[in-house]
Amino acid sequence: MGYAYEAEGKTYTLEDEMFLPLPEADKDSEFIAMQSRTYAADAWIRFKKSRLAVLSLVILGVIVLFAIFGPILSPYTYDQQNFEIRNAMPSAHYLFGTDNFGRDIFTRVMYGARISLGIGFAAATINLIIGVVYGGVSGFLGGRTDMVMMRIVDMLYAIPSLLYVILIMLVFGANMFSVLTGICIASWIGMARIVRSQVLSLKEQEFAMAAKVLGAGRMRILLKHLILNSMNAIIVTMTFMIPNAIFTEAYLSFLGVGITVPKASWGTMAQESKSLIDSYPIQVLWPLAAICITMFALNFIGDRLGDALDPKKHRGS
Amino acid sequence: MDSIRRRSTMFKYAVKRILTGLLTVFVLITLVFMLMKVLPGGPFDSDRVTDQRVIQIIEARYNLDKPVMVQYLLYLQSVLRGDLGESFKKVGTSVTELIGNLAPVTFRLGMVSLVVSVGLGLLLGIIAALSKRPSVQASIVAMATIGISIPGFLLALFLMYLFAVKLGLLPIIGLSTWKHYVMPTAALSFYPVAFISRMTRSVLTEVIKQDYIVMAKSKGLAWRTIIWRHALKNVLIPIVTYLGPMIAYLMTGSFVIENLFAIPGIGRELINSIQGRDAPVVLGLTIFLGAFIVAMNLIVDLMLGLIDPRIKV
Repeated sequence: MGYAYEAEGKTYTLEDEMFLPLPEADKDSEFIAMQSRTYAADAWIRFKKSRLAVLSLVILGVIVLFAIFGPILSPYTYDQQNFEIRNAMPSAHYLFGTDNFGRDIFTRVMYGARISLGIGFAAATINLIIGVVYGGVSGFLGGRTDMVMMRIVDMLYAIPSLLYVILIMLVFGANMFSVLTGICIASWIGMARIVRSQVLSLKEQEFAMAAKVLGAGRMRILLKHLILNSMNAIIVTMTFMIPNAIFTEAYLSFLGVGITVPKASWGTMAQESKSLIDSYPIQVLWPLAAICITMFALNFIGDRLGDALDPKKHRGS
Repeated sequence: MDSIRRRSTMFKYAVKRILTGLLTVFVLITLVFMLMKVLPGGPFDSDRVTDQRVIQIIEARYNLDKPVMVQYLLYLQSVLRGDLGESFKKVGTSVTELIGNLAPVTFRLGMVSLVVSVGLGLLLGIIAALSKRPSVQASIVAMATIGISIPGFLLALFLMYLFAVKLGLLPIIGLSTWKHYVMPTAALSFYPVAFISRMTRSVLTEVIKQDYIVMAKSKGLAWRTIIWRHALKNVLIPIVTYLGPMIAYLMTGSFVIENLFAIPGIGRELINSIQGRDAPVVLGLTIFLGAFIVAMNLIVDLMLGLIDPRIKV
């Protein structure tokens, strides 16, 4: 017979069979109900939660597609002038209208996307390589080497990157190469600092010690364990470097010291059309809208990616 | 912590910072000198001086006939004396003279923007943190988020179109009356205002949850006193930290703003000289701006060391 007891005004009975061992087939406490997911899939699920982030990703994808295929498919070229249709308003033939030289603005905007995104991605890649190597070595070696390497970086960093760009412009002239070099000369420092601080703290952790004890070489520890574990921070920093580079290029071209005029970058387009702001404001609008939308999308993606890649950030909310 | 030890570490920190600052400026000057040497196109390419003797006299006059090392030392010496050379294009004008004329304009605009940025940024941040109405909070946060992504020159163009072209309310060119300041200041300080208000808001929302604020409240202190005397002290350190980057931003941001609004300052001159390939002016202004920003960062760092006892010295 069972054992009856009262609690909170109710009577419960404990039956004897409740205390029998489970049959072997019913033992499922080890069963994992949740499907196991990789880290990337997990991050993607967290990233997807924000509609704006997904929208930004789609917009960026569309811009990239337009940048790659747009100029090829367009019936016009970026520098093809037609003086009969100067300053045309948007129409079926000229989606965004034409500029002061009768060039198709839509084609020019797409061509500008090539330059802007190209510079953005190229700068981010160069910064990634230099920054990770420099920061990784500095943090890994530590001590006096680290101090000297970081002091050099501090010195480079103390001067605004725009001044470097201007100095480089002066020597190599206004072209894509100088813009890219100028942007890279100071912006890899952010990456180097982040990688260094990550490596500095990771190398003291047990898994790094374990790898050392197991006889892994220094190179292997640095690359496979320390750098790989800092990947989150590296990716997030990189996504913010792209809009920064795009912005710097637009800024320089807008000033007239970046990409030179027949080429169409968003900055040069804004610069060329700014004198027409009182008669044809719409011509200024297109390149500026392109810059704004791209910057927003990239900043937003970077922001959400930072949250998505760091599971600890999401425990609470 | 005993104050004597603190003072001596502070002193060491200050000396170290000053030395690195000086070294940075020194490296910049060296870099500029090296650039000047490799720069394509010397001063004689444009002047069409064919007479070899004239060239020799000029070279001797400007020490161009001496070995590079000697030239370098002479250059260092002259920069330290405050002599940055002469403009190629504006014959007879020294770069130092040019800076004397241009810098006050840029600094005036920069100072106004700095005051506006800190004042407005703090105000908006405080309102966003303390406002009970979600709509007020949300709109300030939205503005701050947008402000961080929008390039200043874009905003400047927009303001120009709206207030000068469409409404005809504000003048576009120059910097003579207070009305001239409105648009350049707005365009220049938009980003720092957005940044500071975001920072202030995030610091304040954390701080007002703390026990000592609750304590002050239960003691019966007025909200105004609590915010001013107790909560805002926490915002001071991040804002002073941001002063350094902000000054650099205002200086480099003025390049485009001065160009757009035709303000005769350093930024506009620098860009004009690049386009005119007036190397001595570009290099001189670069040294000046670089040294100025390094000096400002140095002052900010020393201030931080004094304000924040937790700082690593």
